[in-house]
Amino acid sequence: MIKIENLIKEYNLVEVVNIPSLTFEFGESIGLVGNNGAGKTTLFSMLLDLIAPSKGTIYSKDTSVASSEEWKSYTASFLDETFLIDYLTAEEYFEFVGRVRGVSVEQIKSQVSEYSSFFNGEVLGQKKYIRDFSKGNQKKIGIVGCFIGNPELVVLDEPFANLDPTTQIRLKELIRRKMEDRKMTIIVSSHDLQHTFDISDRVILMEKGKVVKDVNKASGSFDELMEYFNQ
Amino acid sequence: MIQKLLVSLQKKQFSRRAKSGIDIWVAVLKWFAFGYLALIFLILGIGINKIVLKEFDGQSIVDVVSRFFIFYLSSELIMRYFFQKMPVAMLKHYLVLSIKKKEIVSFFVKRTFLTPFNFVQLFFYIPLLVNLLRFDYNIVGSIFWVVSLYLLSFIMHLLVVLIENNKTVFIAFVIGIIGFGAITYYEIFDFTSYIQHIFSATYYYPFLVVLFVGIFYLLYRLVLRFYLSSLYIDVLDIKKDIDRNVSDISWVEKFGKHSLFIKNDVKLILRNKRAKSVILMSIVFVFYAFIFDFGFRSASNSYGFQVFLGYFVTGGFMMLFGQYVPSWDSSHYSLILTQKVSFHEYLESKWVMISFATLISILLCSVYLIKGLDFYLLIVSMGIYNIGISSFLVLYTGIYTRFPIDLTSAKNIMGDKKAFNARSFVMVIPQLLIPVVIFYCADWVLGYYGALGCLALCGVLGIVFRKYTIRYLADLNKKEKYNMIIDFKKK
Repeated sequence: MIKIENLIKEYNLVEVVNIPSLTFEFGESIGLVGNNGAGKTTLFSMLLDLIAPSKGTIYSKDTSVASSEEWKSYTASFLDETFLIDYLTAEEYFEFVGRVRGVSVEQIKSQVSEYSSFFNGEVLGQKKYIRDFSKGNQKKIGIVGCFIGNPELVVLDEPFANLDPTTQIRLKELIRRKMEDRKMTIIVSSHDLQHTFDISDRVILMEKGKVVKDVNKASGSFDELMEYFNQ
Repeated sequence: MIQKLLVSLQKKQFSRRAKSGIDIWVAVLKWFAFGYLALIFLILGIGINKIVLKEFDGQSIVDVVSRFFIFYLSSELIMRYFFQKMPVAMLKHYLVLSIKKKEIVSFFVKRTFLTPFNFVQLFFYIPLLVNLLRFDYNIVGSIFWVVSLYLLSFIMHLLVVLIENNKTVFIAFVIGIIGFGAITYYEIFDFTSYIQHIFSATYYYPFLVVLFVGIFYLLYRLVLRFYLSSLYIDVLDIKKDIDRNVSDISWVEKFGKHSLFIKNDVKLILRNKRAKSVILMSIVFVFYAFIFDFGFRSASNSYGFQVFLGYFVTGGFMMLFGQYVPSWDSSHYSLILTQKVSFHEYLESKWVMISFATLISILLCSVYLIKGLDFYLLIVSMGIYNIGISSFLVLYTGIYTRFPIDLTSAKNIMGDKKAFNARSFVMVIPQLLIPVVIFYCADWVLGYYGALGCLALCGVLGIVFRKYTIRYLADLNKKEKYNMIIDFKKK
């Protein structure tokens, strides 16, 4: 699905990302962990062609994301609040992103209603603009927006931050449910090891822009990762 | 001690702010405006004696100046309303520090007085005073009179701070002044001869200056109190009102494949105060040419000037909205970039919207038929020219006029960007000159109607071949997108 080759991003001669080679398979759920400054968000931004790499290429389905816009038709992402249109209501926002992905208005409505428990009755039918919601609810809107139209690739940056405990658990359930039929690739970054470990098939640990551990859940253990941070 | 700290922070804030090429232009323009005003004031101040002698056969300078002072004062108030900024946003940082609220407020209110536009008036008042003394006016009276006039500028300064949040008061005031000016201009009734006594009072009774000082002090206390009472983050921030008016705008669906984007833009305009003011200003632009019925009759007879008017009256929305494409979407630009949206569709939908607004402007402009069919024809052809040519030039400049637009901040007391700012004007000059040049060239060969036809033809060609122009702009957008993201995240 995603192939990263010789990817380097540097600012003023300081390397913030340096990944010689990395591949994500279709239907995999990948967790990206690391301390602040590990380069997770920068990597995501390059994956979404929001930042141009200094060197190297990211291929999505064998085409470079920087040169073709083909990836947009099957990719949904939520990195931060700049992915929200804050003067729309939640429903209007879902309609916008859904229609851009070619989903009909009726389908959007029925898909959104599936997430009513995730919203805990706080978001839908409120006649409230997104900018007036709390940070946590904004995040929920952004995350659900990603799943509308069931895109093949979903990229979420720090989805657990700012969420209340109930929603964190529900989000994990949601991601597991989406992964059941293996028709979606989900890449999630987080500071929270436990959450990441719970939802991912594969956990990638980054430090100072480099991949330092790439653990398959089937073979590796949570303690192995934990150990790294305890050093 | 704390004062010193605050001053040093202010200096750092100024020297370390994010700068772009456009900021330098704005600074240049600002100082140019300052120089221009200073020069005019200086000429008026030095020549006031001759002007009064020639135009008002030797009435007292004090009386003549006092008589027209109300008009100067109103225009100063209007200018201040648009350009004076209160840097309230930064107050937020100091709220939880151990600084007394009173100290913070008084520092920042005093700080707002330090702008060149509070001192430019001296270029008029000092030579005026010298003139008065030279021509044997009462010394004490002259000094106190000039001081009281200058005090009025500071009173205006405080008044604007107070009415900044109250658009209704401001609009009522502007309408009042226009009506007042019209009545005087058409010699229906001359109020000025009564009002002048207010302004000349301190010359004849110098002790009245106490009144002016009193008003100033009172307003100053009021402003302090106003800010003291709003030193809470929820007041400083956007006022949140739940249950917004989520109006039905399904009529937009008629725009076909562009409707998805246009719907968003209509919502953007209806739901954000800063964007809403674009509509208001566009309407003001439509009636802009009427201003030239007062005062500048001779200038508005020149064709070049009429082309210029045609550009403005039909192009208000185009300029005010178009020059900030894509900055309007700065707060959610990452979303636009990661969705299946091509720049071509995106730009074309913006163009459709601009064209639609321009068409409405052309229709509204039919009021100019009272100024003759020829003038209206000129407006129509300039309208077509704007749709086909200028709109793309404006969209082009928009790509480089990029800065994060804080959609919600325009109206609340910490808003520091007005819908109408100096950046707008720098970019507009070449766009204005091209149609004037086309007009004169064609007029020279083909005559008036031929020239109008030429402008309209340019517009029609622009519309027909828009695909190529939009493709060019889309490529440019694509090339600039990484830089745009960086610029849109600058605060």
